[in-house]
Amino acid sequence: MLIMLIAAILLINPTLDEGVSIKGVVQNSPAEQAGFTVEQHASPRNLEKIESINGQEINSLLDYYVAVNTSQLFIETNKGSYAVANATPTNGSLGLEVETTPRSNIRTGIELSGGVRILLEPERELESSEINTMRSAIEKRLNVFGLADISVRYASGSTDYFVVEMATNSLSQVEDLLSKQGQFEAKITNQTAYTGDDILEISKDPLSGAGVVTESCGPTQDGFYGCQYQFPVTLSGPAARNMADLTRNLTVISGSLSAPLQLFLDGVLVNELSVAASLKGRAVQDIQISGFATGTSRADAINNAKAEMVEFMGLLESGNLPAKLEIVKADRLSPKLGASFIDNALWTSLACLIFVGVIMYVRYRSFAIAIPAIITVIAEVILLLGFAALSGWNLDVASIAGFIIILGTGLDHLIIITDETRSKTSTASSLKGKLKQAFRVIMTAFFTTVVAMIPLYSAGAGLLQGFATTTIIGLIIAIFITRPAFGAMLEWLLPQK
Amino acid sequence: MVLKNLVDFYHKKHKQLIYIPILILLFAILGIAISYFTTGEVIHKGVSLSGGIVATADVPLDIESVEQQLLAEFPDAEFTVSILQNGGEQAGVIVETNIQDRRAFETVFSQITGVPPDEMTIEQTDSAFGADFFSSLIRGVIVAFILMGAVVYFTFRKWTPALTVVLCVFADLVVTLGVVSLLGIKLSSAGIAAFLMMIGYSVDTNILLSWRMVKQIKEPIDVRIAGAAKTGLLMTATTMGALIVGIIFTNSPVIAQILSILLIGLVADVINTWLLNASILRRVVE
Repeated sequence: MLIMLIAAILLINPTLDEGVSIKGVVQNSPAEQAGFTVEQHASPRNLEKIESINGQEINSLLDYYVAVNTSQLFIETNKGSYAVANATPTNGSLGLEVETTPRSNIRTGIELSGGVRILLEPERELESSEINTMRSAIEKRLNVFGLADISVRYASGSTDYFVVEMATNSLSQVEDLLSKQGQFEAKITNQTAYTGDDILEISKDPLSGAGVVTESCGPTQDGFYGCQYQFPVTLSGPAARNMADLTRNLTVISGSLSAPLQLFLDGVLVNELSVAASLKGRAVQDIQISGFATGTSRADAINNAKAEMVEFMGLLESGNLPAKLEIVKADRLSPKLGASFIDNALWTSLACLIFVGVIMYVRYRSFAIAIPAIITVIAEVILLLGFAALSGWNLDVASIAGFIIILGTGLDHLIIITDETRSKTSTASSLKGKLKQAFRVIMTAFFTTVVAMIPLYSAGAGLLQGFATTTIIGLIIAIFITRPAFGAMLEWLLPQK
Repeated sequence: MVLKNLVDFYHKKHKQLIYIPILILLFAILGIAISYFTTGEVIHKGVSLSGGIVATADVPLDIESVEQQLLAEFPDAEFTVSILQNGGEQAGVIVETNIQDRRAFETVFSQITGVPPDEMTIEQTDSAFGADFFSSLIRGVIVAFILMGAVVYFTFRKWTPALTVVLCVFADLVVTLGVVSLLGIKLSSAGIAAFLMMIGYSVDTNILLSWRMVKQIKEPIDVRIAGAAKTGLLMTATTMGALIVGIIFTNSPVIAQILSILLIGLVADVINTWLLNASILRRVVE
């Protein structure tokens, strides 16, 4: 058991390091251009850590936010150095999603570290082939956030749901991205010129023209500001030819064609563009898609244009969703509450632990029993956490409840073991025999509890899976490792009768 | 002396003592039935099951004033505003409401508390989803029962202990449900998980008892039960103690609800295991 304990602690890899790590790189941002990337599903301690910005050592999020507000940044991390040019240094425009450097390899679910969770119900039942398509479409759309940890899960039950969890706080943006089916159509003279499916490639490279056209920004009629954004796309050959057919018969009026190109998203007109006369009758595959966004100020309009453009790109890239998704549950969980909750959980566990020790001592009047009991319980927790770090599953509030059960049943079983070994009425005569008896009882209890947890894997959209898994794995560790170890400790410490 | 008299009383009067748990069970069933016929629901559901929003802001405001301001904006909605505790002091406010429009609520709540929407914790559930969630969890509980009964049967290879254990755990569940209903606790989704936990917990003592009764044939029945009770009651007492410590210290209402349900369940378990299960097994084994 000792070996496993050491292994577990190594896996958890706790540290007292303070700092800021990168958990996501937003697509099409200055950071991405400078070469920042993020490894998908990286373990928390392996995230890239920022050491300094422009020579300033970065030890906290506050340091980071202060240092980042300049246009020329030289960022050094534990993996390399980057030179970033950020034309509009406002909050968040750099494109790096950061967090305080994780203290250990234990991934915490969004309830503890903050994030959003959305449950989506398809408007009709999906065929099994469509489920995967839907899942990758959702993932593609969410990729615009560039986060390392996006979880899209399919939960089947009496009704089927997609469960999306990600560590960002832009709940509204995620909702918008996912609730739109993403049916894109460009029409001229009310005939379809091309649809989302005809778009082969979308360019996000500012060098090729993708981005907000800041020169176009100006006040609108109703007192707001507006900016135009655009990005180049490549149409398929047949679509380009179709476009040519439709424009062939139009007339030219002062440099443009007589009918505009209308862009529809999910049936709603989002933009109307005039088509240059030079495109009349020509099959052009490389075209620009543009749109317009407003805001309360010039900076606001630029930000909104950028957000809308990114959303538009996401929708086009992921393509049409096989079926429309309805949002049935949307949660945003603030990291601050999560942090205070973790602290509280630690203190509460400590209190319970002390209580356990006291009770064991009072009942059995022997340190030889109380101390191994405490050691066993602590060992169970550490092993469970080590396993969590290894397998990469997320701890959430429900898992913590699972921990409580482990500790509780742990105590119960330790008492059973102790009593059996000291019992004079047991059917077994040797210490070993008595231990065996005790274990039979525990085994039965183990199976019944495990079995009670099984329904949670499918019931309730699998939201309580974390709890079930924690309980089951914890019990397995307990039954096969720590409690036998406790038995061994008793054998060693108690006088043989 | 008193203890010995109690123990003697317990052993002699077991035939009568069995009525206590039976009566409590009947009361619980009655209570639940009344609740069902008056409100249409077996238990009180929190908004995570019935549909609505739970929002938490870590600004310690006066809960009455928050409630009034919310009612001013949404006069037709229902609100429950409570305190977020942390180590004995108020650390924030928690609002539960049946409003389903998250963004509308967010804006208003943000104005009242001064917390920007992106920083508040908010959970919104559609009522249709909530209902579906709830029924799937109930099905889960039923499945758990069946599986548990199967495990016990395979352990003892006799129907009587198996059925008795199932009956007692079922009684635990129903009584806990009754008490929870009586106290007006609004169950969250985690609360239902607590019921499942309880099945796992309470079954431990029943199995201990059954083992001793069935296997320790060399000893007289009284001794078997007494031995089991000594261990079992200690188990339950320590767990209850740990739960109470947990309830006092935790700052999460979700965990507090889970622990409270477990605590009630354990109290019910003591009665059902040692008065009901024991008495039934006595008759069978004698």
